[in-house]
Amino acid sequence: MNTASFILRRLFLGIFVLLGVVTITFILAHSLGGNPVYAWLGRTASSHPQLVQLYTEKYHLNDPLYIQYYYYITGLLQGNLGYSPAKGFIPVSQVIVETFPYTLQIAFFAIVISIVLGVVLGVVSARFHHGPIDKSIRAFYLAGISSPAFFIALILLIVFTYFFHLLPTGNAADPSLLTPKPITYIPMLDSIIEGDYAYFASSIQHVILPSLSLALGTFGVVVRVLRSSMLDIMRSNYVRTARAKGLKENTVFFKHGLRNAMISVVTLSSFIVTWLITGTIFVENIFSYPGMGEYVFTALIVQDYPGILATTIIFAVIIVISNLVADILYVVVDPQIRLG
Amino acid sequence: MEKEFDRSVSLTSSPSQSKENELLRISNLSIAYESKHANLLALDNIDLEIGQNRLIAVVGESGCGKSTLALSIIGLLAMPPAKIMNGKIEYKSINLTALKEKDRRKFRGTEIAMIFQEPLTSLNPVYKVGDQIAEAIAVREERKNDRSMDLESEVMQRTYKVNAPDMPSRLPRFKRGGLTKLLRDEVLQVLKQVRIADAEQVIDRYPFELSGGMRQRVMIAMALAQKPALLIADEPTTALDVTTQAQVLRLMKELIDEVNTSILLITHDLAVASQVADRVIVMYAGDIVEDSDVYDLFREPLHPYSKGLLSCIPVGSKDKAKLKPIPGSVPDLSKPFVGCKYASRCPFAMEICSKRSPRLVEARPNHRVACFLYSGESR
Ligand SMILES: Nc1ncnc2c1ncn2[C@@H]1O[C@H](COP(=O)(O)OP(=O)(O)OP(=O)(O)O)[C@@H](O)[C@H]1O
Ligand SMILES: [Mg+2]
Repeated sequence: MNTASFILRRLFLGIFVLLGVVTITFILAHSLGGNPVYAWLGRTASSHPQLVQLYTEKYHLNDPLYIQYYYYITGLLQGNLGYSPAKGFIPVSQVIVETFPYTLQIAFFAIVISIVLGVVLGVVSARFHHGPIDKSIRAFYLAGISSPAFFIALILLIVFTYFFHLLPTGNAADPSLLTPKPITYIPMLDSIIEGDYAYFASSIQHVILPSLSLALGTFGVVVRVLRSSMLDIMRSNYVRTARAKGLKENTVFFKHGLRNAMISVVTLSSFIVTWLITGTIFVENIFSYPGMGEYVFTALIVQDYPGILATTIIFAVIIVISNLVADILYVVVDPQIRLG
Repeated sequence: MEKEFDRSVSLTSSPSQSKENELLRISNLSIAYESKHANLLALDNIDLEIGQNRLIAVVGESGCGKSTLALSIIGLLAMPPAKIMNGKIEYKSINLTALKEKDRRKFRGTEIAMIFQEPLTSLNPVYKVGDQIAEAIAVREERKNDRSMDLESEVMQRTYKVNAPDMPSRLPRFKRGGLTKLLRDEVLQVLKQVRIADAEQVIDRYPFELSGGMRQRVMIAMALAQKPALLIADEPTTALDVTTQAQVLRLMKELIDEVNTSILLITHDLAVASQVADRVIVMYAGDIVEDSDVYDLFREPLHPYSKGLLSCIPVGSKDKAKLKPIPGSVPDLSKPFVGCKYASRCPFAMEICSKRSPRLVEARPNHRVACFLYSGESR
């Protein structure tokens, strides 16, 4: 089986996964019961009963579920995610385009920090295992793993923002700076492309705390997996062979050990991405970061079906893609899978 | 314990071997595995020397300390739990046990190489076999060019043979582009040396694409590529089927004349030893009990344990019925022991056997045995 057909097959499978996710979310969201128009309109609903009537008809809310599902899917296939009651009935796609790039920014940095921190500390603690360095690292990551993200976020906020005034909070960048013209729609990238380094620097400062509070809860998993697989590998027969060749211990460790241990990190990476991307919802709310997290909450509270569905679909797409990427990476690092 | 030291003082005369032909000398080597509960004495005052260009087999049943001996020679014993209680291992008159790991490493591969019992897992799964062999060659070349070899430099200078063609001294980087032509050619050459016919294909294979026999050949090629003076093979054929086993053994036997190497072949199978070795060392429960030329041993085994082992070898298929296991079992090595460790199983046991341990003495020319039947001490 060659790599291209492997990828195609996984993509095909991914589409089915997405369809399943859409269907289940659709059913779950609509089984909340009651006419959601009351939730959408709030007080206005009782003073203007004709508005309730109007919206109920406009969005087919009295039709059977499968008819509503049919409308939703046909719309979805045409790229129409619906209109958001929570945001005054503007298109959901517009809300997503405005907020999701920020979520991507946080998620990207959270992923980079937790993988880099996890790999570096994992390597260090495996290299000096059972020593004081190893023990300190373990204490550090255990504290991270066992604290909820919001707790870490609060600690970081208190330390870095209120005590030392080192890092700002709220917003994605200094509000006095103009958001760069959308090219990729990801403000940080756009600021680099347009040479707006002031905005870029400010957006980095704003992204550190939220992404760090996510990463501190996750990097420990990488440390733990890498350390234990490294220790296993360093006791393996092929490492003994490498030593018998007279290689330096560092060469044995990095070239023969780490290369193999990274396979387990790759296996872990899609799990980490899933964990972190969903984690953004909470930290964005804590740091008032203008990502999709705030919208996810509001949509849930006011029964904004299109919003709930759209954000779920986006998370699902990311998870499917990250799994695909992990599978491809896996094939790259492990020749046995590549050729076997 | 005093008793042990008492014994170690008396060094036996060894089979007559001229000193300059000597490669490795092990004296009074005792190694224990330490744990919280007990110390297991895996090697008990071992004396042994190995000359150049010989194939020596170490035989003994499971747990008698063969692998411990092998790993201690190449310096790959995990310490802890292993601990060298006393004794030394001298290689070309350099005491290896006194060296720091940094210097010790410089003997591995190019001086003392080792291949292992598990061919399936002893090669790194993510690198092509050609690259792994090239890495071994690069280690050899790097050492040859290494002028900063500070350790007892005169001895080291003498020790490091200069007998290989010039090679790039940098380690191969495992780039996708592959090996340099020069390096690749040498890898091909060593693959052919171990009788791998389709070396051109095998060089670009990953270990999992090769059979067990092929992988063991690759292991041998990798070890030989470093041109070691001593190759330790720890049960190299145990994991292979009978036909492959015979091929690999024949290969090792042939190679000993082609390359300038001594081979220490570890096996639990006396039949294997008889097929290939010049000299056989019989171990029992951490002791060397007999050390002899292969013909002498098979014509006239001296130690009762060797006799027992020999009677275990089926001679032809009809004699299967004659295969009789030695009754009794090995003493617990984690308890202090007085007397000959084989006494409880020995049909010739005498009174003295349970009181003192026999020394390894030269009972016949070039034939050492540790047994009171031959020591003249029995009365
Ligand atoms: N890492 C270890 N920790 C504790 N005891 C050990 C360790 N390795 C070996 N031993 C013990 O030391 C003794 C000698 O072991 P060794 O592996 O040298 O025997 P062997 O002759 O190679 O046996 P086999 O034929 O099974 O390979 C055995 O009793 C074994 O249980
Ligand atoms: Mg063994």
